[in-house]
Amino acid sequence: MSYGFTMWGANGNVMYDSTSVTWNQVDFYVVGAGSSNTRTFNSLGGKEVKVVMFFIDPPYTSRKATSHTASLSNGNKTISISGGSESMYILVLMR
Amino acid sequence: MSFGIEATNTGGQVLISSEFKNLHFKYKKTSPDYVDSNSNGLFGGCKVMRYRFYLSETPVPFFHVPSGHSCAVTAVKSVSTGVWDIELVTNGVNPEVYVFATEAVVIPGETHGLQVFNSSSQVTFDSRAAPLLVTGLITISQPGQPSSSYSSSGFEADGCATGVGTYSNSFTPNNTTWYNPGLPSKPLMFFSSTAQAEREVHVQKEEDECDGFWLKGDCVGFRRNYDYDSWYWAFYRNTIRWSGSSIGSTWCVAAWGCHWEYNKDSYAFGISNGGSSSSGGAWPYSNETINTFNNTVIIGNAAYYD
Repeated sequence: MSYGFTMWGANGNVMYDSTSVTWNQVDFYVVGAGSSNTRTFNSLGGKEVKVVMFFIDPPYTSRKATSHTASLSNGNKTISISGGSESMYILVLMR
Repeated sequence: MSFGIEATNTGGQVLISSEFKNLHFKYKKTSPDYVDSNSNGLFGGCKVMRYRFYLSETPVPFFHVPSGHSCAVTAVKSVSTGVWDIELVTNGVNPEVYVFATEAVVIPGETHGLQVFNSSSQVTFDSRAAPLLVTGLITISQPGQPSSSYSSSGFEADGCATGVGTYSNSFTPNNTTWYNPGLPSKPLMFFSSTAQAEREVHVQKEEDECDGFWLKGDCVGFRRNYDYDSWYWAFYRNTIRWSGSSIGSTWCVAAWGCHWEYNKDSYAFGISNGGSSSSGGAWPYSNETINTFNNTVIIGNAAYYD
């Protein structure tokens, strides 16, 4: 690496450097069954954003468990969640 | 951003930010706290497992399974304050589950490094606390069919009489869609399964009884017509597996069951004089695949956190 930064641990091992890639957590929240939610984070403008959803307690055998859908707009600054029949955790990541 | 620090790489990707918190490694578990014993060995060895974690904030679960075995996180649930159950579907092995969260807990003995704080004096990054390092990211879709064929051979039509041990192999998933992102020798994977599929095998049988005699296909006397239907079904969740440098998107059976119906019609000399019907069992939906939008797989190196 000819430029950037490196952080070493106490034993001289590399803990982190600027060739590493990571994701930062923007938010982690619940959107309930049948509900919708829109959040805007102005500092996400121009950043790469990923929205990941987790079912909280999906039924297996009694009915159809449809997931929410997520959409990004406003230059990735606005996250809209809607349409699912189940409560889900919404994890927003950026880098 | 009017103040603080933001370190980016040459691709413009944010590495460290004083505004948003990095994910840091918390701890890992190598065995589950609950296994759905009913599924032991059936459907290619697919099992539902739950791992319990004690954490003051919402966990972000990654997992590692040996090459060839499939796995996915199927649910994250807050059991009570600070207690989390992470549900996975896997086949044949206990996944190693690695949990990450924003809180930075310094690895014992690590005395050198860099800390970044936000405007509320909260730590957003600490190089001594094993921050999440990502080696790859792919978006996957699912094979259209969990199994390439479904045969009704050997299934009983009468009242779901065929035992699950007899028919489970008929539903064992065997389709995989492969991607080649390149992998470390011990890949760590983040994959939340939302896609689901139900497939079923319908078998039907009809019987006629005649107290009298048959004449040109008609019963002269008292006739009873019996109609038996059984729908054997399996419920799949989308999972991933890996081999060499590739990740495959496949399916694993998370639940199964059977629905049956029975109808009896009675006739006297060709004239209907009543009947009866009954049914039992339940199923989520019929031969559908839902939640099939593309899913993200984040890849890291598990050895870094062992």
